[in-house]
Amino acid sequence: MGDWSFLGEFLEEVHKHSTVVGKVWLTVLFIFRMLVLGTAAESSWGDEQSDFMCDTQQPGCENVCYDKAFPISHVRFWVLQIIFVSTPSLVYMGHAMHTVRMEEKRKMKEAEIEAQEMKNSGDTYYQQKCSVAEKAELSCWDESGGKIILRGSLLNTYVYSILIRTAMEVAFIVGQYVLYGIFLETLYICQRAPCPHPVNCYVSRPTEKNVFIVFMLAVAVLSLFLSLAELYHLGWKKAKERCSRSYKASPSTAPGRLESAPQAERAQMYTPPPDFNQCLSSPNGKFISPFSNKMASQQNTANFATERVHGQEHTAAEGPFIKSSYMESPEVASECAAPAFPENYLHEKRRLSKASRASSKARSDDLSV
Amino acid sequence: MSWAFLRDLLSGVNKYSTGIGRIWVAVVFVFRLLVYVAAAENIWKYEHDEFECNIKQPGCENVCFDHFFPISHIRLWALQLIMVSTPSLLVVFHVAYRENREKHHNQKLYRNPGEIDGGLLCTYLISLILKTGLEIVFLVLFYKLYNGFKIPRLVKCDIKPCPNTVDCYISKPTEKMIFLYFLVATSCLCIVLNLSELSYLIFKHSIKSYLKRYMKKQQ
Repeated sequence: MGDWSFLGEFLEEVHKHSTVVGKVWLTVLFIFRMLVLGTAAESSWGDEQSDFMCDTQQPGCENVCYDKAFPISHVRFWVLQIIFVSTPSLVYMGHAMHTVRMEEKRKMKEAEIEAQEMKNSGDTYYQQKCSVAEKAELSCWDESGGKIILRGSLLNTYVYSILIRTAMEVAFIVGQYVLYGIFLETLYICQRAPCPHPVNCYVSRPTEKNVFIVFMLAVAVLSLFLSLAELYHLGWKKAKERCSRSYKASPSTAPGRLESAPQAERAQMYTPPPDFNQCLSSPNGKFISPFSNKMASQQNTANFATERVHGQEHTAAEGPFIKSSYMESPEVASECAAPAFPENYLHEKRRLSKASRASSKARSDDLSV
Repeated sequence: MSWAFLRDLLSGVNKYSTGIGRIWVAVVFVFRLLVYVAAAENIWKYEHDEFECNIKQPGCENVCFDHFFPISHIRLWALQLIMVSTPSLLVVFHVAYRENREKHHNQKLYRNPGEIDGGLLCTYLISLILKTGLEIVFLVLFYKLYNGFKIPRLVKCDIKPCPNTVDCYISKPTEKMIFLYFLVATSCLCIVLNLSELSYLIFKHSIKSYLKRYMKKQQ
């Protein structure tokens, strides 16, 4: 098992950023494949050539017959299978790490820019609030444990990684069947130079090997099934999301949907209005600095509020898609539930807004500003 | 022999690498080190015992084996892994030197000791060139020593004390060949990664310095 620690450490990271089914798949990989291979299967195949006996005294005949019977040993084949099946997950992990790093860099830069602009304006009150917001933002990121929400290009990478993993799994299962069939026979009849005639060769420990072959085949099929289940789960969620979004487009249905919003969400909506500066940043923040372009930022905040309400309803209704930062930092989330924007803007937008509740909350906010 | 030492060293390198550098470390860990430790070592384990010649003359097998395998594939593979990973340590040493210097002078000399610029950039580029060079050297060595990347099933040997031309049979030639091709493929992949990292860094820093000069001229 120590040999597999090279791969194990990488896969631990993947474990954090996977769906529930993905985590089950990884556990199956660790325990039923790596551990079994490293401990039991290796020793079973240990004497595979030394105990491969051919009924001949011709020197070299056993060597060539063994080579013909086993072009690649089962154990090495399974090692390659595990490596190739794990590789797509590593690619996804690389993308996730890259996303996390880019997010952190962007937030650091934004915090720096805001700090500078605050300094320039010379307003100490806002400076303090900004540093608080900055700290809150950075600590929120740490608190969330660097977890990320699976959407956009990251979701695509995840889906592609599962597709490639499934393809690899199928390829290796088919490859194993083509090379060896399912069961290993005790007797192998070999006709190859320098053997003078067809020679009987006997495989060592065929029954024990068959047990492991069937076990590894079953685990491969189980992994394949888990990958397919994960694909279905992801595809179904995406389709449902799309359907509900297009369904929500009609305003008559909007109040109905909002009425069905869970208690916690409603409680969130009726919490006292947040301080404006604390809402400049959030773990899911897509805010542009309000000092750069007010109208653009207002449009963004309106859009973001809409999206957040959608997101909250979805995560509340269907359970967390991925155990993500959304749930893990509720304090900041509740405070930043709705930003402030001017009343006249709101009147124009309210008809088009898909989340009238969020808008109404902002209106009370607006008055305080 | 524990490879964990090399793994810990390379993990340290990861901190000061570019994105492509991190991919290189992952490829080395998973496709080369892991395959070596988990699969390849066992294939070549009993290669001498399983090497069989069609002769009863004592000593003939020994000399024939020695003639055809001056250095075993697996040992050459291990040497390649070690040599190819070592230039990355230059970067680690340089960063440690920078940090030591800052401590010694008790002031902040660098914006970030781990940032790839100035002297560290040169060290990084040199390490990349060394890595690529060593990869190519080992590939050429494999090719020359074993007459191309193939392992024959049968070799003919007529070195003393073998009395005549003797047939000698190598064990597991197909499996060894599969893993040899795997080695070559991963080496080539690492060469491609190193070269792309090299060109990326050179391009990025030449653009940076060009822009700096342009800004200075404007001022």
